Amino acid sequence: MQVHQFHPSIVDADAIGGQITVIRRLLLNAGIGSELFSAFPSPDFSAPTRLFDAYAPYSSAANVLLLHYSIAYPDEVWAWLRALPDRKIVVYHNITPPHYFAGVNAHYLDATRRGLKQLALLRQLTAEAWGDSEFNCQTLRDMGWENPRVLPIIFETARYDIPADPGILAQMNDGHPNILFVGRCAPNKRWEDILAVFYHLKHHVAPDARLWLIGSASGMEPYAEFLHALVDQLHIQNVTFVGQVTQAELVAYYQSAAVYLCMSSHEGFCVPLVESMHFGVPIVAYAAAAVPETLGGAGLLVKRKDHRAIAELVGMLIHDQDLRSCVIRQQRERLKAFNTAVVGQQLLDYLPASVLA
Amino acid sequence: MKEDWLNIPTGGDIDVRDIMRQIREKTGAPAQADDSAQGLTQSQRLVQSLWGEMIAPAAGAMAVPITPAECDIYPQGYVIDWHIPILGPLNSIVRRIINHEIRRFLDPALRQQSHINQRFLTSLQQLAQENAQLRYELEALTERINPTDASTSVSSEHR
Repeated sequence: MQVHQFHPSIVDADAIGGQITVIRRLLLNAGIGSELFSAFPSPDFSAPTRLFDAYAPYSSAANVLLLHYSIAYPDEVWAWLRALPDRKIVVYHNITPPHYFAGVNAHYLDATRRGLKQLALLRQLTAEAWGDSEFNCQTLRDMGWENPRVLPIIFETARYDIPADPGILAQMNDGHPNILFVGRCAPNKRWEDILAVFYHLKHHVAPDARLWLIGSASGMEPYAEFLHALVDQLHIQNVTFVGQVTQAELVAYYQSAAVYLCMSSHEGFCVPLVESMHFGVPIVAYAAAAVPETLGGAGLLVKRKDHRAIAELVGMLIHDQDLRSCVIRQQRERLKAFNTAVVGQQLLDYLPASVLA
Repeated sequence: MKEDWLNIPTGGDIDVRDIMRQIREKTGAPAQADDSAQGLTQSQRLVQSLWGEMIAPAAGAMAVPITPAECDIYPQGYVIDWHIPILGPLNSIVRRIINHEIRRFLDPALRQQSHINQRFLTSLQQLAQENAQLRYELEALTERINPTDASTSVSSEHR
């Protein structure tokens, strides 16, 4: 009895790749055989990965195949899945609603539309479904799955317990409050709202604050140009579009941040919120999609985008040490829900008894 | 500014009312004000204006994936030639005469249809652009004046 995993493309850099790696390790530690399969194996990925068409020797009706789903599968993968006798479980990591990519990237617009259509088709092939969040599970229910289960992203601290980039630490720790956002530069992340809040923060609350926007804009160039134009026209100073960073650089940014600000309109889980909790960075976030669920009562949730008021709230977190300490303490408590032991046990509880026998 | 715009974790030492009071004092917003009555700030107006200029036109084009070239149905570069000796040139002459007669009444209709196709495409793309702009503004307005449920919110896109 084995539990294997599939995702079209598995990379170390994203949350899904991390989750796949941790799940495999947990399974192996529990004495359950587990291999990884993909359509486009990456030579840089840390765990051995095989092409999906090499799955035949591993296939069995007694085995479980976890189908990580975040993007449309290629046609050849569908033919392969239909022929498999294995018990298939969808692990849904969310697909951004297509309309966010209108005017920005036609390929993503089409891919997300196809992805959502395919998700509905996947219902016919799979026995059950899991989602990173209750928000994602609601999508699964809408698509026809009964009783999807929540399996949150497992937060492994080892990835972050590394030396921070000294250059960035030196650059950021000079007494200026640093406001941070980490995530792809994409329309659903609403970077324009972060900029609007920061605009008010600079003008009315903390003129010496700096904003660091970490995340790649690859494929989102029209949206990035819109953001840069906004910065220019509002004459906002001290905004840095950092782009993609190494893990050591990311650690440095978190260690130097005063506040984490999230204005996303759509998130399936939002790993950076958990990262902020780990690094003791108090969070101000707009209550949309899975954000409230991931925060679980921690952080400061705003239910309306009143940029001026949110700027004042950010300012209070910067200057009011009692408020700051209280928020950080509650975030640290919430962090426990994502540790390897807690979520790992959930994973084992979800597997069919025959696998564990 | 209504009291329900901020959700702070309960059970801690945080005095939510005091935070709200401080923010109201600093922003000059009266308590229980109706947010929907407040106009857009300068930054919000600029965001919507820039989005309309820079993103919405492309959104309109993407929504209607037809090129201007596809609108033109007027046959271009139609050549009548021949390959078979003796019969070929005779055949070609006859076809040229027939083609000339047919084209005399067909050309104006083809040109008119191509022109109409282009105008429809332009109108469709403008409507799609306007739709994208209105959708963006509606989402921003909703996020500004309607409080979200602090529990899980579900996107209607998936339904």
